[in-house]
Amino acid sequence: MKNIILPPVPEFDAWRRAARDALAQNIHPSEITWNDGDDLFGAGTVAPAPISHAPRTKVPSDFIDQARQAVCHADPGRYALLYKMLWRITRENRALMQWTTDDDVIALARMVKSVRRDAYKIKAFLRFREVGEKPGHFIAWYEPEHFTLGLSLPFFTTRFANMNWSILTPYISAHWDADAQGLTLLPPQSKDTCPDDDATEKHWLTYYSHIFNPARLKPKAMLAQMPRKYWRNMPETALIDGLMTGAHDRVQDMISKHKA
Amino acid sequence: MDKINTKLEILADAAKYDASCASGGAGARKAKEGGKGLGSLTGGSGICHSFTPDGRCVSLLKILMTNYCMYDCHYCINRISSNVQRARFTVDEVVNLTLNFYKRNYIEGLFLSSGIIRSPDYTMEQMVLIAKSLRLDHDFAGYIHLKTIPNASAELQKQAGLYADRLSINVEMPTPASLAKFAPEKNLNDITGTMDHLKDSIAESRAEKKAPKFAPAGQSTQMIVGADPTPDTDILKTSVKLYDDYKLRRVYYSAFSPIPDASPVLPLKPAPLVREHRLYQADWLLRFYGFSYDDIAQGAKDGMLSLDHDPKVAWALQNRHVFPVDVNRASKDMLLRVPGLGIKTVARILHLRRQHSIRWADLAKMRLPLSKLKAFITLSDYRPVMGLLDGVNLAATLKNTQQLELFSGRT
Repeated sequence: MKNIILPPVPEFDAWRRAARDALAQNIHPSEITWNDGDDLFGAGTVAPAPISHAPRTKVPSDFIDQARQAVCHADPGRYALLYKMLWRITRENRALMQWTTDDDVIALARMVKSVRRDAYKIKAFLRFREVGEKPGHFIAWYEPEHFTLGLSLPFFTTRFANMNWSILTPYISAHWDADAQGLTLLPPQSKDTCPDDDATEKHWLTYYSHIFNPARLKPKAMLAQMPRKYWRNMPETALIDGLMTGAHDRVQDMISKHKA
Repeated sequence: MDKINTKLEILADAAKYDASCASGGAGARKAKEGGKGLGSLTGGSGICHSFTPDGRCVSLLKILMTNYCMYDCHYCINRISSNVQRARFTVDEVVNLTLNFYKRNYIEGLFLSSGIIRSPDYTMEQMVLIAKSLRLDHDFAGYIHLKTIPNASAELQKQAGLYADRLSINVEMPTPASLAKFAPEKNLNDITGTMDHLKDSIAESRAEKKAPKFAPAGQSTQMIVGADPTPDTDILKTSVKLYDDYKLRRVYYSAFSPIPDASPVLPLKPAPLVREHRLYQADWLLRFYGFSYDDIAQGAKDGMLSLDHDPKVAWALQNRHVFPVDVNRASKDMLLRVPGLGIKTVARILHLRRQHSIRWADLAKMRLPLSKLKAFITLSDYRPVMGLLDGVNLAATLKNTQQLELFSGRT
């Protein structure tokens, strides 16, 4: 039995090197256990993956594209699934990815979908707060479901290239220096590093409650796009219950005044 | 007292009746490197940064510059005869709010509309100043949607298109007669005339690679549904004309809902939201599913789309003779006509059937709505039982309510 330990913050290349070696040694998927290392930046537990000298195996690019996303999934079984699929693609069916109702293909597609959604939601739901003298430093605390900050960082470094900012997550923190145009990745920092208020936030709350139309209550549609699991780091969600409870009376009030 | 906060209350309240919150379709873009610029467009369909309990996405800071207005359009909360509280933002106030919201990742950009003050030209000029300041003074690369003021000069429209990603002008009512009744100062010819101008400017800028970009996300419009008696089929006829003649990117439908201090001309009862939803579904079928206006009208009754069935099911019920469709052999166009198969699913089916013959278990694995599909398809191991397709119960079993939220995220 071969035991492979990969870095705790997923790196696609680390998995690829290990998988390529195992494939070259003809190790069957059932003969490998894949593990996440547990010490983020500490030395010792994670052996640096050797530079692989195994021959490169050509693999369809749609598998590579999906695997690149899937390694960011929080499911501990992701590496084993990927290796099993790699095995099947190289040994059994090169067109495996086209068999969209194959159980492994479905499982991978679901992982990828979940990772993509998670990476999208960071861009959507992350909120910065400003600290210090203007122009200040913008800090956000965000809790992704998977290891997706890395996939989302190009969005933030492009959009907010001329602001100094930090994004804190439970597994890693990212810091952008506008003068140097440089990104630094550091171990996670406490949520308390993020300020609990911001000068503009009350305007945002005002906007949120006034752009809402009480005559069109559709909470299910809201929840489909913004499930409760995202709420705790979005300041405006504290207003939702109040807006919903008051909606009926506001509409009745408009209608009764109209009659009169 | 926070003056900005009070203005924001009033001018967001005044803006909520515009359905559009789209922030995509303008291509990818970012602020100039090495400058002080802010923002980007991702090139996709834009990001929904939040959702309100009305199910709508919050993608843009959607406000009016001012809700003072010279006009007296009955459906409008800001008409001159309404007693709502009035306010007006300065150019700098809107610019700063937009930048401050944007820097905190609340929004993709600004959607600015306005009541008409002094004159259409004066109003439009002030709005253009805001967009211009964001673009030139602040190198703002986020999304800007400007509501064009009818009758503003061609020169101002031209400027607006240079700074805005999208321009829109609302037709408001589906027929000229209704517009005359509900918006006495507005004239359909003025509105379509402006659309025509914009269409030409957009086309010119697209044709010429080096030409300055002009409203790269195109133009859109909105119709109020249910404030007047116009039936759905006439509404859709207007939409088809708008898409064809003015190359609009989107027509939005806004179910009439009660507004504070409503005009006595308006009906008391709000239009059902499901009616608005059916119009969006029909609009989608027209634009992406190869349905013609006549196909849609076939499924309607007395000009009204069915509230019980989505328009595709309604069409299928009238055209049972073309079903069942063989999923393994049918053309793409025919698959798109099957109730329960969407554009993405059809693409997956076309892909899969090149590998192997599709069976019932495959559809189950794809998590398709089998109870909806079962009357309309055949597979290598499945045929609908005798009588299912022609049965009198089919319409009743296909009534559904759970689909209502389907299109809600796409405003």
